[in-house]
Amino acid sequence: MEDSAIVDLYWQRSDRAIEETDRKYGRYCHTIAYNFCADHRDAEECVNDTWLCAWNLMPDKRPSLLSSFLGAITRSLAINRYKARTRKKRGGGETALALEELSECIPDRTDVERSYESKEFEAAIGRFVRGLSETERKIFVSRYWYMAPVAEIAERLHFSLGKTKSILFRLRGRLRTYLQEEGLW
Amino acid sequence: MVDAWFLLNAMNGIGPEEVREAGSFLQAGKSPRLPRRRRLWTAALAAALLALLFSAFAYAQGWFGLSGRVTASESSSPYAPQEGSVGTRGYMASNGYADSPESLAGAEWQRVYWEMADEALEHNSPGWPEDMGEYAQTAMIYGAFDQEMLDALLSIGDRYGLAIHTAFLHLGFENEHFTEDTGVGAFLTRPDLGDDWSCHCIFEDGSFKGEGGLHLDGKELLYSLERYKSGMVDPYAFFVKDTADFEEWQLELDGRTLELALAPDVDWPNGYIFYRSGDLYVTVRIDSNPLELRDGRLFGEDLSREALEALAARFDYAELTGENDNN
Repeated sequence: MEDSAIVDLYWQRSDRAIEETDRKYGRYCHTIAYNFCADHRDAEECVNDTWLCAWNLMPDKRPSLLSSFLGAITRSLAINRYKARTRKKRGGGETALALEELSECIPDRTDVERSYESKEFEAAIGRFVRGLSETERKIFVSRYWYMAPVAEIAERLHFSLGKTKSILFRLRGRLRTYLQEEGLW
Repeated sequence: MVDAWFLLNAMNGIGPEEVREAGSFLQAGKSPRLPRRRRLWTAALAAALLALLFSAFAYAQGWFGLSGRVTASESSSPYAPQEGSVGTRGYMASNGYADSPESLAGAEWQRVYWEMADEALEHNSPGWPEDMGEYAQTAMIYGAFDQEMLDALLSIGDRYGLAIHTAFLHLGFENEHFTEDTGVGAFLTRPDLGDDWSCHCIFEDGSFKGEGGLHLDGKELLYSLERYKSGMVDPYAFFVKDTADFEEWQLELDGRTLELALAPDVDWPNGYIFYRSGDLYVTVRIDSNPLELRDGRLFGEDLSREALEALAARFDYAELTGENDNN
């Protein structure tokens, strides 16, 4: 079913809205959630919560890219679930690894007194990503938006694991520099 | 407060079209692998025999190029070559030659680590251990999940008479204290061409590794550079699939002998530059395949012998190994 037709079902408050969404995007959203949670039960709950959020958001929203809309909801839910679960325990999995990687992008001397606006960073990261080459963009977004394992990214590109990690390393360096040049650090 | 979580959440700023693009990329079925160049069996056998003979002869003659640095090994590491080869395949230490204590210890640690890691991953997500006491940094450096893994690492060090890294002096992009921590100043000879470098980590003994880009004929080529000391268990794995793929030779540069290896058809890395001075080993790995992906195929260029020699001249080996300080 086309995305626009699925969105119409939400606007019509049809019972079929969730069913069609689950059929088309259930696996997609489950993958996103699992990459963060590393637990199928948690991932399944994130997906179910995503459908509830979607039901509550449409109407009024009418997303043009339903996959991205649903994926963003799932991602946020999965991040919160992961944080809650690992608050007292240093967890593992892809999320922990990605957090370790992203910590490299933060200069040692960030101003603890300064209030950092998340919206500014979101906009800057969006610009940064749009400026990347196609390959770099796929690698970066796959890793830090989808939390895809590096090995999976490497395999899809037919790159070696080492090469993919090198590319990610350089992209993180460029992101750090970019955020500094934007005056955000 | 700004932390990694902050950045992770800020990824919400990535636009829906970019998210969709990456989603399609991740969900796409596997593309057929690019065809490998076939070899005639007799040619492959001849290459294997030549490689073996060359390795034995070269080692006896004090040749310490790629062939002289790979220790045959088996490991379940995802980095390790699993398929067959006609030359030597196995582990390459960054601080020792083939079958040296450093190379044997490093190969054994990689085998042990991945055996234990596979089991840990099956039952639980691994994370840094909570409390390893005085060995907390060591555990982080070598990736030891628990006391059992740490004990295995320490045992390997003891048996081969090698020390274990105990601390990161630096981890990440900040380069402010690089010279102070390593004794190395500016070592790129042509920064005017856009060549750059970012240090990834520095250990307590001044060993370091990092990555950068070299510019040649209008393209940027990725490279990694390590300068390690002998006498330590190497924490990082590097495996070579098949030394027979590589052409190897020596280059005399400013009175120093560099060992080069080149294999244009091999994926990262396909160019090596080795230099040793005393107990310091410099290893440069170059990827001659630029980043462009066109029509689903890698856009790569053969790296010529002359180009690799030109790139070898982009580094000041005297600076990297402290020879300038001794003059």
